[in-house]
Amino acid sequence: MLWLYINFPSLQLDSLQVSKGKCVAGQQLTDSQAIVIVDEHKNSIVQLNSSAIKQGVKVAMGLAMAASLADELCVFPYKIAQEEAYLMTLAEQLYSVSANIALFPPHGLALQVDNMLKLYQNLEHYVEAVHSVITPFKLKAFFACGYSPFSAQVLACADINLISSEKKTIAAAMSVLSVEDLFISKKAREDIIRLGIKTIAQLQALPISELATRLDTHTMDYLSQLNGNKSKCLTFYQAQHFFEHSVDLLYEITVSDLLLHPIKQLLLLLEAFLLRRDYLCLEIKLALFNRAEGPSDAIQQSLLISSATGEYLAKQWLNLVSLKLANVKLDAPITKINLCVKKFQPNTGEIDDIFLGRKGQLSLAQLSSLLVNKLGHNKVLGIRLGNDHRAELASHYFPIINHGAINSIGNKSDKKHQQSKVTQAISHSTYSYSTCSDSTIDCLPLRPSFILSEPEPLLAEVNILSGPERIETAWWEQSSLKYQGANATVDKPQSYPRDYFVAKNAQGQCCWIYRELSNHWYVHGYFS
Amino acid sequence: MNKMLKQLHHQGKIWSADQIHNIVETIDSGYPELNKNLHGGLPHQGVIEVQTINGIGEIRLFLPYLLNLLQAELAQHHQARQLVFIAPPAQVNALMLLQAAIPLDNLLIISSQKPQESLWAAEQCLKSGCCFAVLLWQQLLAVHQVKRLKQAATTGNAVQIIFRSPHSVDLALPVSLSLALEAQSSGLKIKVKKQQGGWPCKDFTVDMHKQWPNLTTISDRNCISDGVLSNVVVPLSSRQRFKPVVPGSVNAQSQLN
Repeated sequence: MLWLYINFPSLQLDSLQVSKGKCVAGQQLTDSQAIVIVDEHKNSIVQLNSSAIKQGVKVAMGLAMAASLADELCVFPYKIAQEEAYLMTLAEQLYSVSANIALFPPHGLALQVDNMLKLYQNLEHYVEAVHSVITPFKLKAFFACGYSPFSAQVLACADINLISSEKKTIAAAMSVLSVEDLFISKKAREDIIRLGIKTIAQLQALPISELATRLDTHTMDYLSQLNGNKSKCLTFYQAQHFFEHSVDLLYEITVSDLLLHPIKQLLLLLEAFLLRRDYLCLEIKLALFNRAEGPSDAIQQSLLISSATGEYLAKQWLNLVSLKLANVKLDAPITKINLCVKKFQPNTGEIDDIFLGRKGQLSLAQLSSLLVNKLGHNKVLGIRLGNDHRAELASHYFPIINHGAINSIGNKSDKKHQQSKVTQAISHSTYSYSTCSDSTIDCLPLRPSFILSEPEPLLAEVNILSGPERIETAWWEQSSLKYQGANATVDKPQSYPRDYFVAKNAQGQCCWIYRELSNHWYVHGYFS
Repeated sequence: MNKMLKQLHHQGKIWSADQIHNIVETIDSGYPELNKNLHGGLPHQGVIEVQTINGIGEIRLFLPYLLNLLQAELAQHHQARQLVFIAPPAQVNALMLLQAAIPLDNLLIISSQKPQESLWAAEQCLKSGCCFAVLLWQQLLAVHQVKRLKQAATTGNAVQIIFRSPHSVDLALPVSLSLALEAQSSGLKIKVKKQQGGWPCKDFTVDMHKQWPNLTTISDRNCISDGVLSNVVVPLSSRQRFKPVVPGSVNAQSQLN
């Protein structure tokens, strides 16, 4: 079985640099900045960029040595979890071109080639497809083929690029390599060297039974797998059912506008994820991490960005995110961004009239999500009737984006007769109008267009036009008031019954005033 | 001279007599007096400025017009777009809208407090193409803001109605129509301050008695209001709390009995 192993020797470093992008404006970091990744436990440099190499820094060098060689050295701790997470991202992307992906954490992948060749016809086409996925990430990578995943791994980890299905070529490349390149225990390696064996060719020349007497079973297992005789169970990549990705920033970002660039990359990943599954999402969750004082990163801010219509396009989401970010104050510099989406819905497609087309650039749901993200949930409202006869309860606002409301927007196209909808609304919501039909809308009582949230004392002289209309409270309300005792309803004293009048004041304003039994007069609304 | 003329023409400050037919598409406003004086009705799209105090019938003036717009859309597309209220002076009452036969599903209310947010929301609603009218309560307006709203209204085929208090700082705003309203017992006295593509006309009274018999009187004689009184602006919601008082009880009592 032919395998293609891809080794990413500097995965963490490269993933950091991807996030750099255009954000360098105003920052001192440029391409000439030397960056090294240091393994804290061994105090040795594990990854470094080209300008660090230019200044004489080498892999496995101590940090103090490196610092004395290079000025303005930028140091990051080596984080194995971060590399593994990024490896999963790569595997997810590669999953679109290749079926079986074996994971070799922290920074290697093996792709099973031979079963994909039916699709790609030959190895060159297949490798080209893999390249097209990997290239946008701008990673340093070595590709090597082998007839077992482990032989391919040995080649790729020895920094050899070898794309070939010829057994001879692969064997020739393998035979040159030293025993040091094998992934075996230190003791086994020493044992082999003591035998006077230096290259893999020498090792393979020996009969296995001879070696078995000198080496432990683990090493023998490995060697037989290297030759492709026996295949161990590998951990294969399995596609996730949710989306979660993070970007670690090369440096701290304090301006929210600059955050948009790394966020855009996350959204593009999301777009690819959704597009492949033909999904839409209604809500995305962005977590912004700051450099924490404690041992681990603490979530600083968590933003929930919602859209009334399902979206998958990164462009649309970026638009909503930028609106949301404009209102967010960053308390501390951001070092990491995480994007998490767990709920999806299938993309059913929007049904537009083929002849009329879409009238504007946005649908109502898109508009309301735009407004909600800028102004906040409690400011974009719909209105509906309340199930009560008292004016302050007969009509109330509700936030336009909650899931019930979205459905009602979605079904809008079914409506033919708005008029019938009106009567439906009346019969559903208010008991007293339940017998209303189209023609009886006129018989609704005269009500003002604006209701004051709190009635105001009547101060000016008025001319009464019509009235009185007595409105009594509901008996159930009074009992519940008693029951609740000193609760929230009490701080708004609403005394009923009230006698309502329509009146005009000296300015010609039509007011809706009422008199309580105590003979106090209030203005409750205006007939605008 | 020629250059100056060109410049004035470019700024839309010169009106030539042949523009009258194609400049503004109008729709029936529901009031014959208004239709007569405004060459057929209120504009189909654009920006309408209304200088008025709140609560004298300024919304009632536009209700038949809004309903006509809504029904025109229903007749054409079998579905209607949204009517948006931005920063209304108090809570909008659903019952009144039902009375006016405006379906509640077609309403969007944006209760923003900041003028900048209100303007932004108005522009977004207008240009989205899913709103047919946007009612905005906003005091201060700059020329460029009105221009942007107008542009957005053209993009989205919508109408923007802006309610301002009377005698606001009077820049020559590039609105399609500017009206000043005054309360009268039978309806509203209307002064057309600006009308795109129309001649100046005399102030006239719109009779609302037919539509709103309970809020208006038939006779035009005993006007309770004149220009001087309506200069006094009474905000709808004053935050000060006073002890409730019994109003000049003679009127009230006589009505009661």
